[in-house]
Amino acid sequence: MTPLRLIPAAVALLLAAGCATTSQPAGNTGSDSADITFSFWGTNSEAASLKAIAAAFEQANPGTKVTTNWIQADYEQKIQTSIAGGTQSTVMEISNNSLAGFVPSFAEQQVDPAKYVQPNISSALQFEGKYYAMPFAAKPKVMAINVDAFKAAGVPLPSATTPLTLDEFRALAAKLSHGDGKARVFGSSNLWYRGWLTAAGGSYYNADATACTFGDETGVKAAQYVVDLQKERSAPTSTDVQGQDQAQWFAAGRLAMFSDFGPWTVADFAKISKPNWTLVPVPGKGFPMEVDGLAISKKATGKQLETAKKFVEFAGTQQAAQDLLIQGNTALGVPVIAASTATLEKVLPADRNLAAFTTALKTGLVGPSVAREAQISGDAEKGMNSYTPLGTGKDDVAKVLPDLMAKCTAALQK
Amino acid sequence: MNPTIGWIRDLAASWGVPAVLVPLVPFLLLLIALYAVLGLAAYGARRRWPRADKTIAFWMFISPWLIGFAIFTVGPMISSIYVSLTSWDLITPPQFVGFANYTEAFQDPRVGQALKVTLLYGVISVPLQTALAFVVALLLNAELPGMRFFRTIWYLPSLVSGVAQMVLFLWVFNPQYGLANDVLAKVGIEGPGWFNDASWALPTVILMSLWTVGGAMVIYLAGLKDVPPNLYEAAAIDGAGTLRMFWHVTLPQMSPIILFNALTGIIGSLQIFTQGFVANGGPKDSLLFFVYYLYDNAFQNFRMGYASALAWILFVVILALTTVTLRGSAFAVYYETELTTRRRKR
Repeated sequence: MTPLRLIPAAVALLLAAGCATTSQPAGNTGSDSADITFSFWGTNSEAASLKAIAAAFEQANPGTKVTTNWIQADYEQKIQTSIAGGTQSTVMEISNNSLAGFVPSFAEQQVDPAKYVQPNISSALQFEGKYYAMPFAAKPKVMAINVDAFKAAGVPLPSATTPLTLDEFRALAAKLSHGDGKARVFGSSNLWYRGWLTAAGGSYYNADATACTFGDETGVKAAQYVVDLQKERSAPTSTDVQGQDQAQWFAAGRLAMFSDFGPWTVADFAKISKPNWTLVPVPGKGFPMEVDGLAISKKATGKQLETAKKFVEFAGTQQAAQDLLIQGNTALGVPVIAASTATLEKVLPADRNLAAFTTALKTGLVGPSVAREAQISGDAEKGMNSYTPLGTGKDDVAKVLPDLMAKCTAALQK
Repeated sequence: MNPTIGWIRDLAASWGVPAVLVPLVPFLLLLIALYAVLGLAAYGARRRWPRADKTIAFWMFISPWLIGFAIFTVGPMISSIYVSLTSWDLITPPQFVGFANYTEAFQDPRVGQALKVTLLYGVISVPLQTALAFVVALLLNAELPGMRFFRTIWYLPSLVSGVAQMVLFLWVFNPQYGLANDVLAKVGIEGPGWFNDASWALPTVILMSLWTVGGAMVIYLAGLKDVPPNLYEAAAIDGAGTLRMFWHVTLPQMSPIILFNALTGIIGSLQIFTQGFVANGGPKDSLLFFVYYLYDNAFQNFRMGYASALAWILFVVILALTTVTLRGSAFAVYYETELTTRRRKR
């Protein structure tokens, strides 16, 4: 046989070896090694927290190795493509808002709700009655107030523990606003509709996520409330704040109240000594709270699965790990176990009232997880921003929101 | 992952190959095996056809490109045809749905809007960019002191990446604090909302695109330097003025370059993405460019099958427009090296 005749057979063999695919697990999952990989998003300081937790786990469990994979941008797109390619990490950080879409690739977990400060924390990471991620950090919102602005206007400070009503907030914002043009001081920062909807007692979806509810009576009232504050010039519009850093506005004294203050904002505000500021609860029923959890890849088996289970348990329930969520004066989130929740309070002097986070954590509202959340809420928000004064439009919210809600519900049920 | 590749990687790791290089080992082995097979084929062919030495050498030398093209271009293209016939969220296995994605695309009003926005952008911006780049090249072709400085100034914006450009122009066109409205206010004009206004967003992006004509300008400049001076001398002897020289010498000589820039401009304009992405589609989908809508479906809505179908629709649109432009230009473009008789036949 001449070498030429062997060529087709050799090529076929080569292709068979190179192209054959099976349902075997990826290289970083399912092997008999105890080493695991861990993907997460975040800023430098957030990544520092998570790397510290991984290092603490390795120290507490000699012989294990956690290789961290810090994804700095487009986190969900990247884990989505890694799942498609079968190269996903053993453990992946996931927020309650995105959980539903990723459930098919996550392993079910055993979570003990009693270990967390309140039931919303664990239930946030449930989907159809099963847990798919171990909670490890919560991101409740509070409101920063410019103490100097209140004193200058002769207005008493709001309570450090009891939320203002929406009417009280509106009246305060009006009293604290003054000036014209680019030098105008606004009583409030730009109002985030989804947050104020929850504060007003409404919700984006109904409890079982079978319908959108942001265009109901409460939703329209909340939207009108936002629009009215903008019209009264007590709060800047989205055009006013385009390309602007509202934390810098606050530092420059252009905002008297900053209502969208999460744990990650602490570091920025820690640098502000003048004007004097403190934290109070968000008015009404507060803003929705995000809960972050650690999911385990469905492909993990054997020793890797055991290590992954130990790791998520360690990160989510052990004080040694939970305390590491706070690094210096930055916080990835508020620790979710009772023993650690107060850690954040100690980051800044007591008069800054970081204890407001602890209160917000205990009362925080968590919405249901929706499988196509990015698409469904993204389309609705594009509509709101395009057509109504919640964004750059001019149409009446009472007409636009119910239409968008109907489309949203149809998309949800599709 | 393929079990053979997994096994090779494990083996390489156990032999002490550094972890960073482990993924390369199966690839390099595959290449070695492939070239062993190709070498064998070349050897056999050479023995059978001893006079085909040059042909065999040609195929061997071109093989690295051919292999790369097959693996990294043709392979994914074929794969995307299959994906376009499925419903796939990247997380669960793809489900074959036939032509359902294509049917949906033809009924999707946002596909219509995306095509409208993209084509409108192309129809307005490509002629504007082509004309501006050509005029600037003509001006910068003059031999005057300091001309190199001006050429550099015009070319520099082309080096700025798309996202940085968009962020910069979001500032320039900010309705409250932007430079554009500040300047307009100084002459008593109340500036528009630019990116915030549905009727102004697309014109703003078109205006912005003119900032980066430097790339095309450099190509025109190179073409202008290549126009034989004896043609101008002959025209001058015949009594032609500046305008006539431009019309009868410069323009015909530059026509292949104008066609090249127009074609690459058309293809580029149909693939515009960054501006739509940074502006999140713009108010009322006024910046819903086709590729941005495709991306939105693939990576925001988790609909890879539908996005692949959109990609193939865009491919057909680009192919059709390029073909029409090429065919339509046959009588308007002058090729110096082409025989007159062949041109007549066309």
